[in-house]
Amino acid sequence: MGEAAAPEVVIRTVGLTKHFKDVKAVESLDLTVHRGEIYAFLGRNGAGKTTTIRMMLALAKPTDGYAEILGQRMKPNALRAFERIGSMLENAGAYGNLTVRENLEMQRNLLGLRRDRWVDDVIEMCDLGEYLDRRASTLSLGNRQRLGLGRALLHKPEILILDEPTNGLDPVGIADMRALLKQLASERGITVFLSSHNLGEVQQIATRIGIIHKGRMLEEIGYDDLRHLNREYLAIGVSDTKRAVWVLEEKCGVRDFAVHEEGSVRIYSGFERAQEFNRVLIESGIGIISSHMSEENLEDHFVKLTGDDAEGETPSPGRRRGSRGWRR
Amino acid sequence: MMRALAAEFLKLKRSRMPLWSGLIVILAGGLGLAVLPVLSDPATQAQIAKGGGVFAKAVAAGAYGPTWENYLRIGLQGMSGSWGVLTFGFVTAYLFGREFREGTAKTMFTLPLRREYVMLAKMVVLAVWVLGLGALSVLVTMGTATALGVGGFTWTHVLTSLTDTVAVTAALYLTLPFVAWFAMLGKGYLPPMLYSLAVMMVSNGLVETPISHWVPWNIPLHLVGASWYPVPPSSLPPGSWVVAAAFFLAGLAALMWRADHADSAR
Repeated sequence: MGEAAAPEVVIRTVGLTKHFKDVKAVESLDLTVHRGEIYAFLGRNGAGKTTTIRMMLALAKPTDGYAEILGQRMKPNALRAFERIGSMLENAGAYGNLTVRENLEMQRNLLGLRRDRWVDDVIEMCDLGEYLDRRASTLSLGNRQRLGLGRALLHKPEILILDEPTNGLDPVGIADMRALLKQLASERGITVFLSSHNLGEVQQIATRIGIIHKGRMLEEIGYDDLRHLNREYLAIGVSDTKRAVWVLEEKCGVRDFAVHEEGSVRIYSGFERAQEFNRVLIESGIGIISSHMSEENLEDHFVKLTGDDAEGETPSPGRRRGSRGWRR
Repeated sequence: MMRALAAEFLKLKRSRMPLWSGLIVILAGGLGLAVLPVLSDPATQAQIAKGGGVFAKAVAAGAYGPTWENYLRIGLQGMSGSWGVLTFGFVTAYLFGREFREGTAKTMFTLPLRREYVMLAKMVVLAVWVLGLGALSVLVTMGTATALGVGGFTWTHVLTSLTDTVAVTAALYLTLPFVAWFAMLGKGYLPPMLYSLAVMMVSNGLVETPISHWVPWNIPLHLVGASWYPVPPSSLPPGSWVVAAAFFLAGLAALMWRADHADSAR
């Protein structure tokens, strides 16, 4: 029995680098995306996601390295590759004086496509039907995103490159977008490369994740691998973190634990002693606010990798900056 | 190329910019010419002559007499010496800068279509647009002259004016690729508009200097003269056209290079 053929690499960057004077926006970034994957390019705001995508699409010139899509080195006028790529960069633009229909028709003409059933499918998939005769300037940001996605899909691309595709979408719109991307990947075999800082969104659709931080690729990992990496833990909410740490170390001999945030301690082993931990903590005068078993998720993994030393926004709502604490 | 051209024309559908640019031509041309009867009044002329300066010279040269010939000439001089550089510059800024303002540049440059074709298509649309504005200017002049009951109409004057309009428009068009380049460089409207304003001011300042024949923005003005300096219509040395053509080609090359090599989208 022969070995199964390795999946085709459709996007590859090699040593991709972009410096803006002294700012190292992207530094020696290597990534690979295989056919059929939904690859989530994850990073905080300012991590270098958009710059990387712009270089991949030949919208920015790399300082060093290169990007290759479908075997073609990406540079301006890489027409053969662009024929097979659909893209939407953040805040999808549209000609405001034209209607949604005219924007789509113009794109169709520019792509040299005949009007066929697929255009109607795209309109339906992107939920643009009721907006067809509205000027693009009157659309909400979310509907502009839909229009941008519609344009990107018009030529039945093999690869879809999306920069923050759910920007401006409401929760229902986000769920629809997620479902659509999954459908495009599973039913039409489209490879999806999307950037995001929304961990929840990525967690639900990505088959592979690349984590970028301060312009560097920290990790590329399949979602299944990530699940195996995730550890179970006992989360104890306490009234006095410092004292709880001392009690756990000195009185219970716990070594494998972390202060997740002020008032929350995670213990990664010895779960059978959970009752004992709680009892000793209470006996030591520490209030127990909560105690439950849980599992690390993508957010935890992301924070573990990127830490809190970066400038910019926190990776997700609900996590205070500088509160990650330490891990033994 | 034809696909790009069709798209560029479609982009103007329902756009207000063609309307605004037409309005500028109507106001600049119509209002400017409407004051000629006042200027041709002997009492006003005496006052202007007493005041001295460029207008006094023009009055002395009989430039403001209310005749069809003067109207058509001054209408054209307005375009070549003042509003043409600005309005055509603003139109160019709009055509090239809007892709960045509306966030469509990144879509435009990721099409399976050569970027040079897109730039060339825009230059073709620009040519049609400025020629249209030139023709409108002649119509406005004729309308104003007719409304004011100016005498001395002949078709010869109109034909001469039309021919000169085409020449002036073409000469101004040759300066526009650099405006487009500024729009691409500045990724928007303001840099090319400021550039147009600056070159209009600088070139006007050079009109009466010996190098004026070699300044690309002054070539249209020398073609038809300027009553207010006054600069008589002159036959330009062939070198002037060589400079203008070289300036056009350099601008076009810079524009193509920018579209092809630089970080082109925001």
